[in-house]
Amino acid sequence: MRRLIPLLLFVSLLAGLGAQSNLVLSGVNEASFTYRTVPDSLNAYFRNAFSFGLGYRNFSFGMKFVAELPKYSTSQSELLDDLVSDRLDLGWRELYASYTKGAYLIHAGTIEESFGSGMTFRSFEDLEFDADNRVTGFKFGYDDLLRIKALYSGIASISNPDKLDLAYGLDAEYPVLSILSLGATALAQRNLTAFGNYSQSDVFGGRAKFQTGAFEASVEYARRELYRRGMDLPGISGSGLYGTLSLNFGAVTAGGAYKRYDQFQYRLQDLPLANHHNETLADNQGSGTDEEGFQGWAYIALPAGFNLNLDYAEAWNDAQDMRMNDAYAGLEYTGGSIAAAMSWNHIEKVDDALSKWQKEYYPAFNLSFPAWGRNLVLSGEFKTIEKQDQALESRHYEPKLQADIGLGKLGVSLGMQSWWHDFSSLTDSRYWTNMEIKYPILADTELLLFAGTEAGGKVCRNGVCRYVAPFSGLRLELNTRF
Amino acid sequence: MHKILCLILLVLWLGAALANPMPEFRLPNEQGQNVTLEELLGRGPILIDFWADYCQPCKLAMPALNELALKYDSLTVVLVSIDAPKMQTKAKTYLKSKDFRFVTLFDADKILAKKLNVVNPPHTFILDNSGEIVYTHLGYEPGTEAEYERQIRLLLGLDETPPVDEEIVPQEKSPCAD
Repeated sequence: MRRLIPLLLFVSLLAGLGAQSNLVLSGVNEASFTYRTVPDSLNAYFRNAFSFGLGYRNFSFGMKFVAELPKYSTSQSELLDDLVSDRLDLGWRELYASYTKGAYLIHAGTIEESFGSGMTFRSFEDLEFDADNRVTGFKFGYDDLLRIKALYSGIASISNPDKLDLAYGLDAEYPVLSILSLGATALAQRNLTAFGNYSQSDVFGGRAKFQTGAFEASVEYARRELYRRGMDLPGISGSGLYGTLSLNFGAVTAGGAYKRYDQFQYRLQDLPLANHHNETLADNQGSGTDEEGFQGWAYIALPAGFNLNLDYAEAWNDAQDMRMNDAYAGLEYTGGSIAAAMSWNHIEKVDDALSKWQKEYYPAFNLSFPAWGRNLVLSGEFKTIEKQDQALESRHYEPKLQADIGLGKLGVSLGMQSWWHDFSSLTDSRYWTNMEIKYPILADTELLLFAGTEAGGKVCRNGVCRYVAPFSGLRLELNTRF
Repeated sequence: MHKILCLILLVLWLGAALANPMPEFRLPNEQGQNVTLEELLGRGPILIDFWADYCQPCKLAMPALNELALKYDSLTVVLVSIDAPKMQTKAKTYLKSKDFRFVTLFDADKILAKKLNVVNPPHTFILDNSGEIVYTHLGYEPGTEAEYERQIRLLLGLDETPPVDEEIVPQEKSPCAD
C-alpha cells in the first residue's frame, strides 16, 4: 500500500500533464543483436539504446540510456579476442533539462553547441568516428536579434578519463546592419596533461557575415594562446582564419573559401577544411597545426533538368612539403520519375618530408528509375587508389555496387564490393556481398536485417543514411518510435 | 481495486499522451533570421523534412517535395538541415542552385532533431494546421511522396487520391519561403 500511494500520485501527475495539450513526449528504442563471423571468441553482441524527450510548456527534459554488452568496436583494425570488461558498457549517455522562455534558455546536462562555424568551439557527437565530444555543464542562451551563448562545462579528460577537462566561454552575434552581422567569441579550455597538471588554451575570435540578395560573404578569425605553466614548457600562440564567398547569378551559383590555420589545433573544435570531400591536409597530422588552402565551386543549372556541380580545392603547409588537392565534378538529372547523378572524385596528398604520395580517384553514379512496376535505385563507384611510400609503389581498385528496391512496404538493398590488386586478378579477388531488409512491422516499429560484410563508414541504404561500423556477420535491429 | 485504478489512470494518461504536438522551435533560416513554429502555423499543413548535404536520398526527395509545395498552395514545406556548421555554406549553396519553394532552416546543434529523436536523415513529419504531428516517415524511397500527398489531402479535406488530370499550377511564394 505504501508503495502504491507514490505510484498513484506519480501516475495522477502524469495523467494531469497528459491532459494538457502542450505536453510533448517522444522517444525511440533501438535494440540490436549482432552475430559477428570474424575471429572473435564472443561473436554475439547485444545493444539497446532507449531515449526519450519530454516537453511541457517551457520545460524540456531528455535522457538516453545505452547498454552495450559488449560494445561493438568501430575500429577496423581492432578485433576483440575475448570479452573484456572495459567493453561491457552500460549507462546514461545523455541527460539534460532545459527551460525556454521567449528568447531565453537555461540548459543543464549534456550540451551540443557550436560557436560560429565551429572553428573555435563545437561540442558534438561524432557519429562518423564514434567519438562523443559533448560536454556536460550549464548553458545560458539568449536568441533574438542579439544572440548570446554562455557555457561552463566539463568533459572526460583524454589522458585520464576519471578526471575532467574544462571548457567555458561566451559567444555573441548581432546584426549591426540588415546586411551585416558581427560576432565575437571568448573561450577557455583547461586540459589535463599526461604530467598531471592542466594546460590552458585561451581563444578569442571575431567574425563578420555579409549578406545581400545574391551576394554572401563570411569571415572568422581567432587567436589562441596555450599556457603550460608548471611544465617547464613554453606557451604556444596560434591563429585560425576561415572565409567564404558566394554569388548567385540566376542559373549559376559560384563561390569560394579560404582557410589558414597555424597552431590552431585543440580539443572541442570542428575546423572547416575547405574542400568537397572534407579531407585533411595529411593523414598523419591533425588539422589546424599548419595549413593553408582555398576552394572554388560552382553550381550551374542547365536546361532540360540537368545540373552541373564543379568543385576544386588545394591546401599546403608553410614549408610547402605537404600538399593536397581535391576535385569534384558532378552532373545531376531530374525528370519525371527518373533521377540520375554521376560524378568524378579526386583526392591527392603529397608529403615530401616522408616521401609519401597518394592519389584516390573514382567515378560514381546514382540512378533512380521505375522498373517492372517498382522503384529501383542503383548506385556505385569504382575507386582507384595509388600510393607511394619511399620507393614502394602500389595501386589497387575498390569497386562498389548497390541496388535498392522497394517491394511494397518491404525494402531490400543488395550490395557488393571488392578489392582488386589489378585487372588480371579479378577472379582471385575477394568479393564482399551484403543484403539489408527493412520492414515496418507496425506503424512506428521497423525491423532491419543485415547479413554479409561491409567496410563501414557513411552508408545510404533503403532510403536512409547513417554511419556504420566495419562488419561481417548478421545483425538484427528492431527500432520503435513513440 | 488499487491495481485497476492504476491501470485506468495509466490508460487515461497514455490516451492523452497519444496526442502528439510538434515541439516549439526557434531556428535560423538562410538569412540567419529566426523562424518559430508559431510563425509557420495557421496557413495549412506543414511538411518538415530533416536532411543533410551528404544524404543522397534526401536530395532525391527534394524535387518530389517541391512538386507537393507547388501543387498545394496552403502546404508549407520546411527543410531542416542537420549539417555541421562548417558544412552549412555547402548546404545553402546546394539549395540556392535549385529553384525550390521551401522554407529552409538550420539545426546544426540538433536542438529540434533531438526533441524529435531524429538521428539519420531523411526523416519527415507532417503536421496539421494546429501543429499536431499526424504522420512520420524515416527514409525516402521513390514513391514515398504518394503517401505524403495522401496525408496532405486528408488534412485539406480532399479525396485521398488526386484526380489523374490534376495539374501542378505554381503559386506565389508564401512570405516565409526562402
